[in-house]
Amino acid sequence: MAEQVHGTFGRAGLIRRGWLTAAGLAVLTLLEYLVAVRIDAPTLWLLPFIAAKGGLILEVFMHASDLRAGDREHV
Amino acid sequence: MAITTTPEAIHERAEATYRPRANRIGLWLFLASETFLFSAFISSRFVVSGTDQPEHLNQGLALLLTLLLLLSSISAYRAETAIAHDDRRLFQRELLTTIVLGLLFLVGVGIEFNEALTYFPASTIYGSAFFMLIGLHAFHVLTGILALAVVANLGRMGHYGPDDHWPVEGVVKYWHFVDLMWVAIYPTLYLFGGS
Repeated sequence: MAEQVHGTFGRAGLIRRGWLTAAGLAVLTLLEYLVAVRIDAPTLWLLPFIAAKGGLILEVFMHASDLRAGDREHV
Repeated sequence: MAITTTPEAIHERAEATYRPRANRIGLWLFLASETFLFSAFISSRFVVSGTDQPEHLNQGLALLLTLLLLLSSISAYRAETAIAHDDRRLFQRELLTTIVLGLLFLVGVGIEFNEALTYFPASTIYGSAFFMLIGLHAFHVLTGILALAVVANLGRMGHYGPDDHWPVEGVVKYWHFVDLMWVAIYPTLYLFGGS
């Protein structure tokens, strides 16, 4: 049962997906920091980073799309 | 195969079918209410001091704290995936890793508090926003660690399995939520004011 969840991801696929997401979040965080220290008044420039990081966490780590999926099994 | 049709059996089947979904929706509603709480505190920072920030913020430590929470998120995710695939050893190991990383985060926050009190005490405008927001978040990290510890202990006693791990899912989701809030708090307190 657990193998069927989140589309076609098996266990190895789920783990790989998690690591790729974590790597993406780390890169976005470092870019965010560089933008903040190199640009004056960086507020607007930082908002896309917050949205992208938040979206990744919601979708991959918190499985937000399961809310739309109704009775589908989780993880 | 005979299907039992007593009221109790029907109730049990309905419970098994709908309970996880109801739990999940309940948790999301709770997290939504928490988001409003954090939003109020985050907006208060801009109300009281705009995007100004003191020069003496420890940027290196804040970046390290961010990366610690990020690492704890991947270990929490691996713990949830492990129990869903009945790998109890990995589940325990990853939960323990998450707890340790959470504790390290709290130690870092303690160091940050100590430094920050020197440069902008809680009685200053920025200080009040800073300590309230970081303190609120640290309290959530602490409660997350406690919840993770309870789940880890129950897991050690043989609870949970591939078809029955809602408490693990719930606490891991809460942990990711704490990480999600930090994604907004970190730039709010450390980056929006620029270098």
